[in-house]
Amino acid sequence: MSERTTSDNEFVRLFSPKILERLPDDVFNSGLHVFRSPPGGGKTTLLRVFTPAALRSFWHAKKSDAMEDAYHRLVELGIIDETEGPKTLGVLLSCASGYADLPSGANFADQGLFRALLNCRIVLRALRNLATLYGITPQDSLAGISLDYDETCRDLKMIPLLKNAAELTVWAEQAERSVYAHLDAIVAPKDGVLPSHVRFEGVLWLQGVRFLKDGKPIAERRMLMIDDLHKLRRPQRQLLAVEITELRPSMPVWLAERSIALGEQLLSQGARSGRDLHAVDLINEIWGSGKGSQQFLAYAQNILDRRMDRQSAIPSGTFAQHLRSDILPNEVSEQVQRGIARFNDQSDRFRSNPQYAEWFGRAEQISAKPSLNALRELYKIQIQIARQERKRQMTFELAPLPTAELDERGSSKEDNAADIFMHEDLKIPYYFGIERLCTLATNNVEELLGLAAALYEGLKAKQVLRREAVLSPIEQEKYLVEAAKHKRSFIPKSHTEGTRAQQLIDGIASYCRERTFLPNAPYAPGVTGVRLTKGVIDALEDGRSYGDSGRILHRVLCECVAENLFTTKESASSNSRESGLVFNLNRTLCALNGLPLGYGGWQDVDIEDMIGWMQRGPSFSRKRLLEID
Amino acid sequence: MLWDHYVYRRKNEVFDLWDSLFVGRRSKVLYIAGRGFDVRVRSVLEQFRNAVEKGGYEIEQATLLLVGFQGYELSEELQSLTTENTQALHDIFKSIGEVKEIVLGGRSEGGEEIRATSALLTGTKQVLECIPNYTDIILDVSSLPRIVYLSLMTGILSSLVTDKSNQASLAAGGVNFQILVAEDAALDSQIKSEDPSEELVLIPGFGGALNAESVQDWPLVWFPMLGENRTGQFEKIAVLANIMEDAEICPILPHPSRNPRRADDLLVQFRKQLFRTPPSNILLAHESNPFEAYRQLLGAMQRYQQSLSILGGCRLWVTPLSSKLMTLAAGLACFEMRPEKLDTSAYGVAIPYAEPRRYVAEVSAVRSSIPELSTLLLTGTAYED
Repeated sequence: MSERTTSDNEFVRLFSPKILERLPDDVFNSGLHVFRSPPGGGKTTLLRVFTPAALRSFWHAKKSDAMEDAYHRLVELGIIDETEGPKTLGVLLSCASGYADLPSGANFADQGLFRALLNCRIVLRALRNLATLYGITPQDSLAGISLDYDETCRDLKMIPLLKNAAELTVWAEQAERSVYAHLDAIVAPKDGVLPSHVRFEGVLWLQGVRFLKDGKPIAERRMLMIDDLHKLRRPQRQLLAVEITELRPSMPVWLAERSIALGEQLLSQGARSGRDLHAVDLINEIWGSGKGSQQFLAYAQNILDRRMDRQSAIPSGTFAQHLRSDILPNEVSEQVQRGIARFNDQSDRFRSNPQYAEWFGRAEQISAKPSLNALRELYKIQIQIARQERKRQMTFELAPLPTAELDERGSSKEDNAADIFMHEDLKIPYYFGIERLCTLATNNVEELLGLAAALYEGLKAKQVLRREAVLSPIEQEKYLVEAAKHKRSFIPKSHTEGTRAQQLIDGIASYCRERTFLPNAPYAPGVTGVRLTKGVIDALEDGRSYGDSGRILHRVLCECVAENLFTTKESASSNSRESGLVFNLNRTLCALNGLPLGYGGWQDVDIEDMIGWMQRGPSFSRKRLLEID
Repeated sequence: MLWDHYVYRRKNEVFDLWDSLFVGRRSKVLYIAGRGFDVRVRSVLEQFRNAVEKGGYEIEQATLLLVGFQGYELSEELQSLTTENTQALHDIFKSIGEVKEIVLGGRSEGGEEIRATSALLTGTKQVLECIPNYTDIILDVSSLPRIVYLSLMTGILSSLVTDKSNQASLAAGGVNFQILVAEDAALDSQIKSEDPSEELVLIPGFGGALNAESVQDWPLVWFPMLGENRTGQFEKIAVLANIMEDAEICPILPHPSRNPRRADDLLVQFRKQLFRTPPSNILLAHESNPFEAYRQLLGAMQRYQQSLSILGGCRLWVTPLSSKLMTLAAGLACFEMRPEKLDTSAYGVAIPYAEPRRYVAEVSAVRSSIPELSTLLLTGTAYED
């Protein structure tokens, strides 16, 4: 929602406090904390909350009902004081600001230039934010703020210990300008010497400087937040993480980076988890599992509802109110009749089998009162017949199977499998309702907003036509699948390895469909991911075992994970199999391919298959899906 | 305005200009061209060689500098067309001079892929090292990627035009710097660019205005020059450069244009991206006269700079997504807006761009192209008092 592209007031109005509620308290302790998520996962949003402009907006809007929760949480955390206002000086810097384009080398001068640029930017941003925190314009008032330094600052070598904030601002601006004078000079100036710093003194300066206004200390609590760490080159990331860790900061230093699959993690680059730094996975730890996924649902709905309040094109209310969550009988009566006929047709050859006599008896009872639920039951019976047929090839039993067995064998997984089969066969809507909308977002706010925007357009269109601003399940599915198509078609246009990524995704999706729509639904409700074993993953990271194709696949997988096209989950080893890494398809792309939305159904695949899909896309099976052999 | 008076020739006028530059004058020519798949470069070079031979130009030394690139994904057909092109360029030029090759990009010693911005800087420096001693520099942009020819053009101009406050400095000590463009709008629209890079590419010399922390609080004015099938790139740049909703976006549309509805069609294509942009922000620039387009853009940038100086300053960003001629116009305007001394004056202008890594084109369409030749004479004897 991000984050940096909206004004501060708008940001605060749209901000959902749920993420603050889920944030562990210890991230506010001194030390290094690393936040990870795919893009759109909420890193920048979270960091922006603690910048002075946003904190002031929260403070000014404290009496507003919509912002009450966020405000109280910030007070609880000691970020805002109920009587005095924001107390914390948050300094947010982005690593997207050209660091990666600095001269690349492991030599001292190149590292020194990186440090110098970051140091002067910490100073500059801190002083400007100080002015924002106290609602004063930098030009007029920084001269009125004097600086004092504690003992830790005495040995700062590169940042001058000036006594006045305005003078220090001028120093920082000039230092940055001299860096760019060199970097932007195609013909290097003859007299110029590139600035070079020996350590990240900006961190020490920020925690050791005392700001005094009218002789009184102000902004005593500090936070340094460095966003977009993944934008740095690998050696720069390593240098920053290791050296800041070694400085043992006495304030919280937050680093935010995109999730990276298959190695290259910051943790592996010199800093140890626990004692040295604390890693927070915004998706898996906060929203990912158990209650977390329910929390994401609440968080997502809160975000959507806040946006609904800010518009006037359709009658306000919660977003969920505008999405009908049940299918009306008359909307699918034709499909239900067709489904029953199809059941009769497909199962005709098993009717003579005495084993299924009771089951068919039940099916006839159900068919007598056609409805969506009845159809679901028929599909479940069909799944059980297919399973029994596979068993029968190994055993030879003729005794009739009791109907009670149908109930025993059925579970919510089979219900879900029947639903996705009905969707596949009869186009009965599956992707509708607020919960599935939030699931389709793959725990990602940006994706959620993209999907919700498609539905919102549909609502606006209905409003223009003077019809009730509620989308039926059929309409919801139409808009969501359209958005999914758009997402897929944009992959080559918006990702560096987009063309290969698209082919790989198509290949995996096609494979998942083949495994999902087996008549006996062996992996109910379906397969939505593939797994590579740890041995293969290690070989891919090693880069030598599979040649150029392996290296390209490694790159494509990394990008797909970083862009949330796949989500990964480690799978533990067991007696029969090696541990590995599961690559789950993005849920929106599952909708495009008619796959279920649950996690858990994955299949082991060979590296050769993955490379083949990446290079050529899917290899389609000629066999019709859902057909009992 | 540096190019208040300018020399711009099209079609057959180009040959007249060459005659007036080379006949009866001893010259040393550096001809810079791209080693890509676009066959237009061959036709341009062939026309130049024919002019040299038929016109009896007294060329003491001629060097063809072929600029190759790494990091692009091309189909096998386009790769073989690139090889064929390279050989053809060698063959065409060998009768009048020697051929040198440089390659941009690749991998660093540490094994990391060299970033496009660094590769451009290194490549530009390499080309600039070749410039001294030549009296005529010809940059043929026909088969060069946009970021490469923008870097080379602004880099060469920086080394030739030492004092931008004085129009006379365009004389550049008598060094004629001309840019050749073989324009074929139909072919351009058939070359699809995909897989935009995840990194924002900056034209060397124009990084400060994008990245400097000191200017982050200034208002941002973004001038995207719109072209067909570039919505993905537009969005990518907006994300990578973190363009705020409150940024002033001034789209530049081609008008007048051969197709009078082209500007409207582009607005329809970009309707989603420009939904919030007020129509009054739209700038119209001449499609086929780069100097006119340069004036429009430069004038707009100067007006914004002046108006927003009351707030301390403004950030001016230009992203060319349009035709070659309009991209050159953007390059000229940015070159002029860039302060000469960055350590003492404010940052000028930035040119953020997201370079595609994959080009897709029908080889038959590329081969059957009938381009229209134009030349922009930017410095040299024509600008002497």
